[in-house]
Amino acid sequence: MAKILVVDDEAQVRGMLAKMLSVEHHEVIEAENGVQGCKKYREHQPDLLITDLVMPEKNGIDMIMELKKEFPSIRVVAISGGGGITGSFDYLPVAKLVGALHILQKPFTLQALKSAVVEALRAPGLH
Amino acid sequence: MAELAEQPSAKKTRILVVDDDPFLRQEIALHLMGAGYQVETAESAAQALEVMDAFHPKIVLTDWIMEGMDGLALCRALRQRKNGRLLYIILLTSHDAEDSLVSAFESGTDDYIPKPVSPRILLARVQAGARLVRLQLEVEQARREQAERERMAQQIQRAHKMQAIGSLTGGIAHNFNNYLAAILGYTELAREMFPGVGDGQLDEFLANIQQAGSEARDLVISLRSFSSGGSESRKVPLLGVMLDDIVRMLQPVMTASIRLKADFESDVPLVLVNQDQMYQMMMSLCINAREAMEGAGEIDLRLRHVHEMRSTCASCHEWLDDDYLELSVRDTGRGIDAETLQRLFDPFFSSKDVGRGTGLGLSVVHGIMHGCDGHILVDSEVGKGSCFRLLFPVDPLATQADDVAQQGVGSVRSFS
Repeated sequence: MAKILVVDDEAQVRGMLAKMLSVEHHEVIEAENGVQGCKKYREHQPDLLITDLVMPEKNGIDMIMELKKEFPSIRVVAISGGGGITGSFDYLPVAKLVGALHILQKPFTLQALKSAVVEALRAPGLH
Repeated sequence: MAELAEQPSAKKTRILVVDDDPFLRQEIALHLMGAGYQVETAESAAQALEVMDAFHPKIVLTDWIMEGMDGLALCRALRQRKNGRLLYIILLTSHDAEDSLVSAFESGTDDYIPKPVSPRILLARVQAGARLVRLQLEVEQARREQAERERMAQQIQRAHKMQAIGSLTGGIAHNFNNYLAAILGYTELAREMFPGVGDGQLDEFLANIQQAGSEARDLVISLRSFSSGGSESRKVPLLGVMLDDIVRMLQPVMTASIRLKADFESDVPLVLVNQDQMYQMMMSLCINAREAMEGAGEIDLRLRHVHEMRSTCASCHEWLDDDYLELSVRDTGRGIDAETLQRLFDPFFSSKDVGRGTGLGLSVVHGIMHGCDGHILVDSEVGKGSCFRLLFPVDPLATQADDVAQQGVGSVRSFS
């Protein structure tokens, strides 16, 4: 059981992720954009950050980079619907570059999420 | 005379003189050459027609009465030729009766010079003809330039449309994936958390939702291939051996009355491709071919190295002037009409009956080919068949594909 911060601007996806994780007995904190995500990460210092990439206010890549400076061994799983709102640029590989341990393409299976979480939590972290 | 003097370029106007009288022919030719024209002579209408293709005269000066084919018949024959309407034809005649002259004009003559020929009249009328020819050329040139400008504008417009559709589909794909993540995620959760509810009926319904959701996901993947040119995966040299594998996989989707013919050149430059994408493109093209042939005919697959391709891409409309490795799929189907050709690569455009095609096949081919800096050509003739040619850019420094296949990949260009 771990403390996990879920950041996604889509309430449906965020709720679904929270449900999937709580079924696995994790403690879930939710945020709906990068700004909120940064704030809640500092506040709760979770074991894992699961974040969407294309979001208003502050996008996932910027959030990961900002948090990485403060928390160098932050554990991140990035998820994305692929492409941007208006374009076809794929942010997932970029997330990997800025330090995401795993990337998941939406829609993903429960099993894929479970194993990404297990593996990410196994990585050496802050706490 | 000085005012009407022609520009030097007009003096080069090519004139063909046709007369069976050698003296008159010679005399006229000398006068014209003296005035700076390029002159060729013919002693009969038949010879004149033979000379046409080699000499390309702008003005034809012909005698009326000749052995065999006469001047009027020559006139009519010249007008029938390609670009014959652009010729300026002057008839030499001693018939000055009104009826005769009218019939000469009706045969396509532009002007006449009465016999005996006065050298001054000859030059004045030829000069007037040359002036008209020049004007006509200018008009023709302007028309061609205008048509070319229009064609370019249309191409740019179409290219922009493809780009716009590309970013639109990218955006749609993104949002759909979000919805699908929620739909499929909750469905999976429900199945896992509440098994056996309602005698297993709930699970059955949820399984159906999951199935439909997965199909929607596959559709979005196709859309994304169109907008981004597909994703990274295993790269292999584009070679006959690999294509043979693909042909084997295609065989089951073909009917017994469709013959798949393959002719893959072995000595081709090295181009690395994504094997899954190749399979996807070949599948799309071959299924389209199968549909176009209504189940019977021949599909001809070819791989060859094309040097200095000069053509325009059928989907992005870029002018191509380069070396390419070409993989073509030719069918003997019903062909594609001009209107359909315009929309061929638009997502969701399908000429198949509703429910038979997603309208994404060729959009995906467009996306994959342009994702690897390649292009597509389409030749089609209604009732005869169509040929889709996938063009993969060739690096002039690349080694031969066969060498690499044997020695392992060295420093080569690769595509996603």
